[in-house]
Amino acid sequence: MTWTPHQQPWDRTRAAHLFRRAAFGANQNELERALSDGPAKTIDRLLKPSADVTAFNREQDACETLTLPELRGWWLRRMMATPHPLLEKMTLFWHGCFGVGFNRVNHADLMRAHIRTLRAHALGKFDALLSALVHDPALFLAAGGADNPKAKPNEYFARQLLTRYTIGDGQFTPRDVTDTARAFTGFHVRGGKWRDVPSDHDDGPKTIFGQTGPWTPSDFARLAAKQPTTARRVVRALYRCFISEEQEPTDEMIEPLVRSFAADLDIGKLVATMLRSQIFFSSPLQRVKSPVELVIGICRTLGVTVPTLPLGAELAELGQNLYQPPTLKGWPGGRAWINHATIIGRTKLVTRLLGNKKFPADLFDVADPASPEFQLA
Amino acid sequence: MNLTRREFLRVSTLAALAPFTPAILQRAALAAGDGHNVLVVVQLSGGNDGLNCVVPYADDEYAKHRNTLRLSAREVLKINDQLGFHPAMTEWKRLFDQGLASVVQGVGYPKSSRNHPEAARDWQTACPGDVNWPVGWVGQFADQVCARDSAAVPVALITPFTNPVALTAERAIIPSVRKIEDAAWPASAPRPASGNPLLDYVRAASVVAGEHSRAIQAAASRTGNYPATPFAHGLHIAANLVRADVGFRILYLELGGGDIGGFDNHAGQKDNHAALLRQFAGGVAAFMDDLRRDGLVERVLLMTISEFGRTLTENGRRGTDHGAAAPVFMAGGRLKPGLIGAHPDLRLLDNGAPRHHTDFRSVYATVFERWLGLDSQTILGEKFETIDLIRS
Repeated sequence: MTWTPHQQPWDRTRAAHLFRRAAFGANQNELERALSDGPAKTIDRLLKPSADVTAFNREQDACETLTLPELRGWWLRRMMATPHPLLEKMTLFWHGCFGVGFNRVNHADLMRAHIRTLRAHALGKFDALLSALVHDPALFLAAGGADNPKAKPNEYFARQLLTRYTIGDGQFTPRDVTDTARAFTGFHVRGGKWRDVPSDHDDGPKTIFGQTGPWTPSDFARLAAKQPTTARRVVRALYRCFISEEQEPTDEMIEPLVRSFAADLDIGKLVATMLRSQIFFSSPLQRVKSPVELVIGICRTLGVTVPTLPLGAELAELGQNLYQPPTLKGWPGGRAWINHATIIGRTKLVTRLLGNKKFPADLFDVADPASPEFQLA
Repeated sequence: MNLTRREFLRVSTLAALAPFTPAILQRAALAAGDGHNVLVVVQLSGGNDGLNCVVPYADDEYAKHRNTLRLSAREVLKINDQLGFHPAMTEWKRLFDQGLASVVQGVGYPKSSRNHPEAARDWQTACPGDVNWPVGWVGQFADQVCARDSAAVPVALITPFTNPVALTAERAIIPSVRKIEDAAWPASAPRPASGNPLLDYVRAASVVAGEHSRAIQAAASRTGNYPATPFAHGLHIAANLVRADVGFRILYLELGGGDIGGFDNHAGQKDNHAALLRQFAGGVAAFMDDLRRDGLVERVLLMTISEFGRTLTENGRRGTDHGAAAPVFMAGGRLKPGLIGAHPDLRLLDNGAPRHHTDFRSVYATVFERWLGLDSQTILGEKFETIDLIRS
């Protein structure tokens, strides 16, 4: 029931809901086109736009300069202009999931490469994403994995890989920790550069998740991605991202998604199933817009751009500093975005961005963008 | 699971918060308007030279090693026949004599770092040597008192100053306050329940923000007599936030910038340090006077932190190098007055600098337990002895 495609009549309200969740809102033309195309085709296009996304992102990549405020500003610009907003939304989603931040990494080039890696796999295969990340120096630095000597395998890093990034707390054995640490020996990050020291690799057999072999980081990624507990965590995180931050789904409810995701590891397909579902369309206003979503949503809906260097700093003050999630746990999201101070800052920012611009009354699907309703999605 | 003891305590505390809040936390988490204690933390960035703040003017060792920076018996503001405050701290001396200030001497930690970012990290995470510890001591406080459904804001950073490690939190979003006008916000009336608890939560936050805003604007209409320094301006904002009584429990400020012109005086220390101490003393005294006028001085405790003290011996450039222990300055209306703990013995140095006898985490434990009413162990990971510095 829950995951069967939505069958209700297609109208402006539902189309606006889809774009708020799966993109950063829609402008007038996009809404009208969605209304005439119907939900199936609109969702297809959100997942795979007809525009040349690769060319767009190549141009954007070439712009990115290497200071933190500039990287932040360029990413915001990309979100405002991209023909593939869902891809940026998913990149941001993974950024929060992996929680890699500049304060630990301290190399802007590594942060830039990290976000590009997330973008490259954001809607692709989860095992490919994980495999890329277990070779990503930024992730090693952020998660305490700069040194992985064979003589003293880095169990702290192994625990982060297990608890934060894959199967989760309480799901693994001491053996999983020691042998995961052994699988990473010989891979170091020194002076911001990746160092593979073959003589420092522990080539012996390791047992991770009950399977024995001469495992390497890539093997770890492959084995961890396939664990149903990992799949369950990804599904839960995406549920929060697309459906509700208020209601935790039961295991039973998400089981069909977990099973199919564990089998094919196809992120795009999982997102598509969620977006087409009954429950997706029956759960409006169950999420708090993140500061980035709030602002990019206004810009894209009105078709305006604003200077993104100062904007990046303002969003940081509202709790969402791009390239710098608070900890490895990422942004908690939901109600945590709103407190007695941020509600003032957020609403003032909305009001300022709207300025005196004229826009159709139903464009935002909310009578008053300065109202609390507008903070939700 | 190889959780460290500290991780275990944190995890269990946060888990305990979900179904019910332990009484000790409830006390700390009480909402605005309850007249609770406020802690004001002043970060002296760069490493403050404690020896030229609480000066052992009668000690030959001091005289012998401080060639150009020595403060003589004639210059210092005498506390007793051994010690005196820096002459630029006249306003501080006044507070001290009025019983509104005290000094905890010899504060530091074992195997302390002499590298700025490392030592600052150690002090601000309260987890020395653990580069992986993700949050700050004040940030952890904010996370603990912000239960899931609370929109309360227990901590504010008073800027200009960005992202101190101390305020890194997992969940709490800590506002930066630049000027009181930033808090201006129209009043709105509560609305009946909408059937969507999330929407009601945001609406309620907006209503309370309006109430707080009015309280803050009203408080700010009182003018204080503050020196024209950015630091004093920040303390004026802090006083207004205390006066408004809108639920802030910790306010965080900074002095010195940690850069050129800050406390890191490797060369030509004399005038620069004096200017900073004058700013510090003048600002804090104006703050205390302002609070006292409104009968609020008993609700406020101000304390300083600095990543390290400095070497006893000068470095040949009329400056000093990175050291170890230093005094922590305290101001407030409910302090046991005077000097707390002995002045470090200059014949028993820690690699050329005063040696600590009081762990800075004891100071934190004291303010958490005796001032903010919180179990310090869940934040500090172990039990640190508290210091008898607050009157009940």
